[in-house]
Amino acid sequence: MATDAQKTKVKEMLVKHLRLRMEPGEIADQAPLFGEEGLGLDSVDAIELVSGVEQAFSVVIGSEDEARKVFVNVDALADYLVERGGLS
Amino acid sequence: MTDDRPLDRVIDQLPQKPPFLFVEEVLELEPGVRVKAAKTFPDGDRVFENHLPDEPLVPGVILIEALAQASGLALIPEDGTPVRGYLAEVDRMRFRRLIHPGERIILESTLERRFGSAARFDVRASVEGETAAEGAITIAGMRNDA
Repeated sequence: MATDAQKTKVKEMLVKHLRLRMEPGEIADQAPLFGEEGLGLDSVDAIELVSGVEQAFSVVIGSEDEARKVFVNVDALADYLVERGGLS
Repeated sequence: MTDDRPLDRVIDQLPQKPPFLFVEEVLELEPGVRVKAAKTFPDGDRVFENHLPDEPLVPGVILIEALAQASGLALIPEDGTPVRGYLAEVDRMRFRRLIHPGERIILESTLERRFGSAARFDVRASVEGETAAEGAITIAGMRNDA
């Protein structure tokens, strides 16, 4: 399970790489990344997000299927990055 | 387009048509992966009207559109089904060389990543081996356009 500090790093990456007009602290841990109810990201953002994860955490998301599983919310993405050794 | 250059036929599958079609030769094509195409804007072409009045140059935005159209060619699958997509993002585009009337522009686009209905390409435009522009272009909203 990712810590709050690790989740904050994920939120900071989201804001920076996706140029979100919000502060990292405004992103809820369980807010959906995609769709109207959450951050409202789209497929173009998804491409940016894969690049952002690679650059910020040196973790390569190898397939679209894998990305869909982890790009659910901050909790899921942070847990995945901890598991893959990208967040310590 | 002639039988001598069968690859050029794929240009007909692009949704853009003259006078807003900025790819005229397909030199190399790996469907879904990459394309190398070419375009020459002859002296007197409309893109040079007042750009600039005393120094005709291919406008940077036209070059971006040409690279986007080349990327559109790379998206067409092997069976030739037309694909419609829309320019969604232009990133890290750097212009490094002016392009004058009559210069043959080589347009290269290679798929960097694809996700759902979006695809990002590394693109480069060059003249006689010199890079004129390079960057990344994302096409989104892709769907079959048959």
